[in-house]
Amino acid sequence: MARLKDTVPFYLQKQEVRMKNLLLRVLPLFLIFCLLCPMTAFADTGGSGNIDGGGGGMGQGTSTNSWSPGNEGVRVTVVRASDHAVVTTPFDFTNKAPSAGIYHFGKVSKLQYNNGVSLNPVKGGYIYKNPGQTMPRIISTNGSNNIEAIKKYFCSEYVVKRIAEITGMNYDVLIGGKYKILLEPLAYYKFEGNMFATTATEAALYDEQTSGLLRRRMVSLTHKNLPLAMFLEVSDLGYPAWGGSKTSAATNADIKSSLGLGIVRFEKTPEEPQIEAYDYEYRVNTNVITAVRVSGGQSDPDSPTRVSFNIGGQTYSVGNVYYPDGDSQLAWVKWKTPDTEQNMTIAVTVSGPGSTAKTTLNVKIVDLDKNTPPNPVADDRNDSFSRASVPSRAVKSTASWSVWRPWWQEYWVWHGDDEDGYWCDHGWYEFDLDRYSASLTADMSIQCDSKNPTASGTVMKSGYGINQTVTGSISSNQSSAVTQPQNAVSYFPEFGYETYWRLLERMGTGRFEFQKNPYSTYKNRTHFSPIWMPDGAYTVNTWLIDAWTPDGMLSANLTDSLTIKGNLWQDWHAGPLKP
Amino acid sequence: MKNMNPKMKKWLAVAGGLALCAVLVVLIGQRFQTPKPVDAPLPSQSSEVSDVTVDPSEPDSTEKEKEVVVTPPDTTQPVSTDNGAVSSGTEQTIQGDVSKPEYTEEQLQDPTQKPNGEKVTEPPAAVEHDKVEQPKETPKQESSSKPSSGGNSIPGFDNVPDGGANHGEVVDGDGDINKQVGIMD
Repeated sequence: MARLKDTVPFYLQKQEVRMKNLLLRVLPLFLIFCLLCPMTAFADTGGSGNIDGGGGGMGQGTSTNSWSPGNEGVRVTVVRASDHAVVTTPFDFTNKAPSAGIYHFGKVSKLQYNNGVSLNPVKGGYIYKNPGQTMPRIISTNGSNNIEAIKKYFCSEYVVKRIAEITGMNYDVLIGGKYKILLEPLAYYKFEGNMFATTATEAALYDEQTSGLLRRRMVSLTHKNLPLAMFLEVSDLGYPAWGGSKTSAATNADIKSSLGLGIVRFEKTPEEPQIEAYDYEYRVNTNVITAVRVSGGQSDPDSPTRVSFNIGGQTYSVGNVYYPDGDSQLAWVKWKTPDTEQNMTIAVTVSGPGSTAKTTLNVKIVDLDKNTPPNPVADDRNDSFSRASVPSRAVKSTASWSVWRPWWQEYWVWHGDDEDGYWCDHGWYEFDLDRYSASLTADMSIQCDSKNPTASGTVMKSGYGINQTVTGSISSNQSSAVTQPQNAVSYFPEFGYETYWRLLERMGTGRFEFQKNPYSTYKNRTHFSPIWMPDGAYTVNTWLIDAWTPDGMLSANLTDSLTIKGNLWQDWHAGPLKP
Repeated sequence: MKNMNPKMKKWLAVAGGLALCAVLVVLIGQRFQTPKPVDAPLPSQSSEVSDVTVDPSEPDSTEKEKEVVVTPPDTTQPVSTDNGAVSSGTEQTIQGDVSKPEYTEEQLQDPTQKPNGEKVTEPPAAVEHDKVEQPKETPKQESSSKPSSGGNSIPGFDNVPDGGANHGEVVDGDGDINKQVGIMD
């Protein structure tokens, strides 16, 4: 162990034998330790996740692609616990002084990348903080377990006070329990002759940008030791616990979704993990997309992977699913849901190389065309009405996915003599990553019903009806992999935006209106505001859904308002006829 | 007609007359049929109206025949051509087919150039089939894999802006390194 000093290049082969011997001694002790100490933790900063496998795990370094242990840091972001919002600009702690002209991607946290922020490289101008009390080793390469030191350091009053000072947050507010500190290990390394500073998430995103070149050059650091330096043991801040391999290189998808993060909290009770009963929830009679991620081995046209989905007795096969060794590929199928509510089980089978983590998908299919508001009557009253705020609903306006596209790299070799010789292709498949995205634009407007005799612009008396128009469209550079929004459902203030709703009727691609109202004299596409509605804004909330992509459903939570002034009775009164 | 007896002629004339009458009755009858209801006359909207009753049990029987049937649009995506993916039916793909280049026998036996057209300056040295070693550094064609060449270019990005000099500072102060205020277990 003493030989593993910072100045020793990590890739020296001599260490392999020593490390394996060391591992053989340490591993049984570690296993006994694990058995004796039940894990009650939820954030693991590298302990069990940092079992690197010892020497030999870092691959071959070169003069243009290398990393030395200790060239590392931690990106620190303060996050609000209630809604996982990033509340301070992230900053980087390090014990080092990174070299001038280092390439980096600014100060962006994992949460922000997962919300769609893209990589934005800058050369130089890298800002960092050297804590007076030096950080313990973060990225382990030799199987040593440094978790206790990392925990002790980042949970200490000293470090939390520094975080409060740097971010400008009040220390007492920071430790009050409403905020959490997101930690991301980062590494300084040489890639293709240039120095880079990246977190694990940035490395995965950058690897996609380079079609896998970063992984090919730096796999042991960027796809193994860096992302596995920190991960969660129980889900938190919307990130799942990591249940995959803790010793082998991870895929970009796994790194982005689950690796390279630790969380410091200040409340005693942990956040309840969200248990998803269903993998997908769809509406009836809707074109949808179901996707699974396939990884393991290499899939290319000579040895292709094929994914089959058995849906309601019908088998859908998906082909041309390719990926390079060590990476993964999303495979998806487009299908139409049945027209009745039900729970379905989709069996997924993979033939050829690779496998999928989930071989059974639980799907819930719901019918929203129910619970329409009751017949409004003239003597309706609601003296205890209080306005509710429009609830937040699942919203996703952009989605991104990628497709590994293989291409044949020829490598011609001559066999035999000149006269009866021949060229033979000893080539191989290379892979490029084609990236695709989709974005949803949506709008809604409500108007006073055309039969309202006293409406004036957006002002009307309560008791009259309103009409609605909702538009939504999805644009994508892979139109075959998306569906246009197919359902919209409206909620109303008089019901507190729950209890009753109206499923809108599709009037054309991406256009929706109220269904015809059976209580309307003219059978208009209308919703009647209650006659007791107090003066003020009348805000309707519409959730536009079922725009499907391989990356999940795009949706929009829309609102529009009219103004209520007076009520319908003021337009209808009885009086004596003039003589 | 000459062979017909007068009795037959009379019956034919009567039958023809009756048929003509029947046609006329039908045509005239159609003129008296009630036309389909057009827009039901709507009560004038005025503040003088004193009493309006709506019976929801009989919703607009008069407008039933005028109901406009909106055919739900077919949202089925057509077979796409964007990247060759097939997104309908039970045999789908996420991208188009990939194929290797194919060459003729003549191209494969021409020692002066490789089948892909690349000229060979010297006669090619024969290598046994099972002793071929692939190069470690793949001659990748894509621009994304080019090593940086001048300017602020890195694999995957060109024209990377210059951020100037790095800025680091030591942060220190009070606070006990041994006092635990957070939880990370």
